[in-house]
Amino acid sequence: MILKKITIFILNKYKIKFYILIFASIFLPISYIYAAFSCSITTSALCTGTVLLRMSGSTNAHAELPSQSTAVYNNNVVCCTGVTGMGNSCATSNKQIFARLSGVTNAHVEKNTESGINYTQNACLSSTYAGDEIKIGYQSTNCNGFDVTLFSMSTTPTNSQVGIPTAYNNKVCAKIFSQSISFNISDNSAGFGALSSSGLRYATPNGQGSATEAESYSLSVSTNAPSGYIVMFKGKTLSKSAIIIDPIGSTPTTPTVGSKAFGLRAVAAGGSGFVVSPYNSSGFAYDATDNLFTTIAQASLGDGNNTSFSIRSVATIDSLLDPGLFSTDLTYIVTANY
Amino acid sequence: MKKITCSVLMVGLFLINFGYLFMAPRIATAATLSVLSDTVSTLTTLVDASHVIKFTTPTGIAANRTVILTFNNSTSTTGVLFSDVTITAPGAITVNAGAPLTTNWGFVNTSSTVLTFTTGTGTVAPGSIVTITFNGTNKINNGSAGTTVLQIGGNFGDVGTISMAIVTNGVVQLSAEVLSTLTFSISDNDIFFGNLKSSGSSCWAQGTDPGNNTCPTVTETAAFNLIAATNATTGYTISLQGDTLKSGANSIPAMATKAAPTVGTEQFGIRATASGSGTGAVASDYTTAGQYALTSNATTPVAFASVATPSLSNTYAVSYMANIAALTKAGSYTTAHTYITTGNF
Repeated sequence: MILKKITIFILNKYKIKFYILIFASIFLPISYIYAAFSCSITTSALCTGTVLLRMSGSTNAHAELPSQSTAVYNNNVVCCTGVTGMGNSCATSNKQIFARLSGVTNAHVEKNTESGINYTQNACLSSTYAGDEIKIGYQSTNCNGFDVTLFSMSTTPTNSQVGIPTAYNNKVCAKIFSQSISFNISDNSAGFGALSSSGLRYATPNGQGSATEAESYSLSVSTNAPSGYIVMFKGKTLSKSAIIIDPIGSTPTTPTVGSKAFGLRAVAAGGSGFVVSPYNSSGFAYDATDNLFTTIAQASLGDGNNTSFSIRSVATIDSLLDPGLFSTDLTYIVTANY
Repeated sequence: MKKITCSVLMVGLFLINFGYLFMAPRIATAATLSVLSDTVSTLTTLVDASHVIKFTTPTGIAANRTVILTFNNSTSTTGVLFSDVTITAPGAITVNAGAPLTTNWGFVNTSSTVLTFTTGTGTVAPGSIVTITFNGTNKINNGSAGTTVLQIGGNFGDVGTISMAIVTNGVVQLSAEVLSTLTFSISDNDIFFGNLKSSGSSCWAQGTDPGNNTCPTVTETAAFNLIAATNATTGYTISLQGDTLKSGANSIPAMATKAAPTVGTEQFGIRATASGSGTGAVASDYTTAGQYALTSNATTPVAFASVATPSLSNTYAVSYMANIAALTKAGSYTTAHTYITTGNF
């Protein structure tokens, strides 16, 4: 009879928390609903993701490791989804301990900052992808700054019972930041065709060049690095051995027809990337060298969206320039700022 | 007896809990490195690259701790030595092979993807910016096209990752052709002396046929212009090939060496002046003011003008002079001179 009452109480309490969860899921900001990494308290049978921790109840509960299968712990499991490769392995190199347990089951927990002699069982959040940055935190009241609240602790830092996220003020928070970066160069060669002392020539991907401004090639970059990225390049000016076509320099300009001049400009489209001076004007510039990278574009925030940078190259020559093939190799790099 | 047992147990539990709360050793948990970046010299797959790895350590780095760099994606650190590395944190830190020596950091190339540093007796303050640069003789070989992840860890307390985009080819080759140019023109292909004369003055050819008039031009006048320019590395040469004035078997002797005209003597010669923005020059036989010569014949060309470097346009004004003697046989004297410009590319 007593057992039955307790069971009913727990179920009722669980029901209340369940409603709270439903309410929260409806009214929480959209970004929470669509967060890639999400966790919820559910039953082991309904969990389609990764179980990180099993609890004997929604509050005032004990914990057991996900590897255990004690029946009473089936109804309150911390179930997480949304990140490919995510797991609960403590053997994986890319993991973080989010709680230490006093045993594999029927356990109290402590924060990962503790190392109580008897809290030898670690509960981990892991990822098989090395680029996933896993962050665990312990905060009061909420998990602002993190992706999810895993569960809550009755007391900190140790000897704590556990509960669903709303059970206690001591929240156990987690975040998985999956780094992403992509970089592509549309063409690895472009040509001006025959340069002229009586007009400007623009390099084109087909190598024949154009008398009107045209795209030589494009770079596309995207990343979710918090501080964005920098696109840089290096390379000498167009040259044939020691004979060069003068680089325009760092002051953007449209070169004078019949002078020896070589330069670039770029136009950004999409995403948060932008072209930087001196390559962002209607004029052309060239201040790179063979040994020194110069910045041509950047993004201050990695929004995950692709920015395409259309690179245009211009050249003109005087009538005395030594005949032959002039060329340069431009090395592009992207550095993400995490 | 039962109460006593319970009390003892409770006291015991209290002590254990007290101990947990206040006496248990704290361990440093992994904080996340911030402001991470890895600037590489190239993103091209399987190419050696230098790396400038920067991060801010919130925990700092204590003495005798490891900082481990682990690359994936088939990136190879094989062959990288301590001498290839420079470190600032933020002051310069000397690196030596193996274990650390005093404040030097030790360096071990642990495996083909793992590099391990061990700090010496010095410490790095929390919040410091650490820069590890690999730019020595031995570089780090880029992995496969795709994403390479560099994990920064070890037991110093912080962890972080940096993802890089490795591409099949991170280089764009731009090329341009500068064509060989050689321009050459002759302003007039027919020039005329009119009737030559043996007294009074020499005659100079000009572009208009004077008909039966005698020597309409008695002062030096350019009969025509040659105009030449080139971007050839070693310039151009203008050659002249042609005979003296002839009428059947009769001829007016060419001036074999340059000399001033002598009225009343059979002679035929030319000279030229160069002008314009180019650097071309008339050959010495034909450049002296007031002196004329013709060193070519019908079969042997001679150099008439040249330049040894690329040259803008030059105009060569060519004057033809002729004198006859009183006994010069009558007839229509003519010749054809061929001018050839050869670019020296």
